[in-house]
Amino acid sequence: MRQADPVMTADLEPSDDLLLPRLRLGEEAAFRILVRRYHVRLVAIARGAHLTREAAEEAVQEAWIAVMRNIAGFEARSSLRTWLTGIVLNIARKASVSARRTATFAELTPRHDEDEGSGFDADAFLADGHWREAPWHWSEIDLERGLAGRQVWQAVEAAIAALPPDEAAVIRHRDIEGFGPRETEELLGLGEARQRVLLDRARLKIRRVFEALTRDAARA
Amino acid sequence: MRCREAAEQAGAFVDAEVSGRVRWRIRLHLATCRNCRRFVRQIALTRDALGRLPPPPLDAAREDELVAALREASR
Ligand SMILES: [Zn+2]
Repeated sequence: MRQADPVMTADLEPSDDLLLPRLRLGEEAAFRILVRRYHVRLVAIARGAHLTREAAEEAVQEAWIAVMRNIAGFEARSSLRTWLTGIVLNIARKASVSARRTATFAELTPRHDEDEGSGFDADAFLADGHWREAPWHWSEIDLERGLAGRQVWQAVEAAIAALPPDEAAVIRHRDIEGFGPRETEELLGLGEARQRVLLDRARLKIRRVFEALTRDAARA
Repeated sequence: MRCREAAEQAGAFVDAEVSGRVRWRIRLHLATCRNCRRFVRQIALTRDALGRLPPPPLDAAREDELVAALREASR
């Protein structure tokens, strides 16, 4: 049974740092806060390792148990969130490998992460280096209007699912989760230069998604 | 600097991952090019909007299930 807990109202939620000593003492309410704060995000991260929704849920549940068992030994050399994400990725990758052992050939055919260069259309620029067509004008206000009242998370999740896996992983870690280049390298094993290329390509595509949303909102 | 180069460096520019010299050259280009100003701003807006996305709330029943699993595992 859940009770309304004044500590859990949005503004008063304790930071991860404040939760840490309570987690070390095994306080259930502290775990509940952490679960509520990160579970949905972590499932999205696990799905990025080619897991179905159910398998991702299972992997993250397993990760929570590992977290709880190991929290006493957590040395806070990285943030709690980075540590948590690393555990989820490890478990998800292992689950993904064993799922693949039983997968059919069609399921095994890798999605191509072909090198698309910078990600701009070949004819985006004229021979003299100028834009062929001016970028369509939209501003922060247009974007807010475009995103308002929609299930934006779901729309963005769908757009990210359509990206090549490396691009999806990098934009999720860098932009959605807000990890820096070094944490992202630690988690994904991709160097900063490679992250840059993948992130730029992914942002170009998500920018188009946002642009379409603002266009729709402008028409409505 | 041409638009193509400015646009290709836009991501590194908004993430402050370009050298001081390149930063200066991009700034100079942006001062005279409205198209690139637009584009660079949109890349920054895209990044910032992604960082502010609120994930859907965790289903209450699932939350209870996870807490119960944790309780079980800690016995
Ligand atoms: Zn320009």
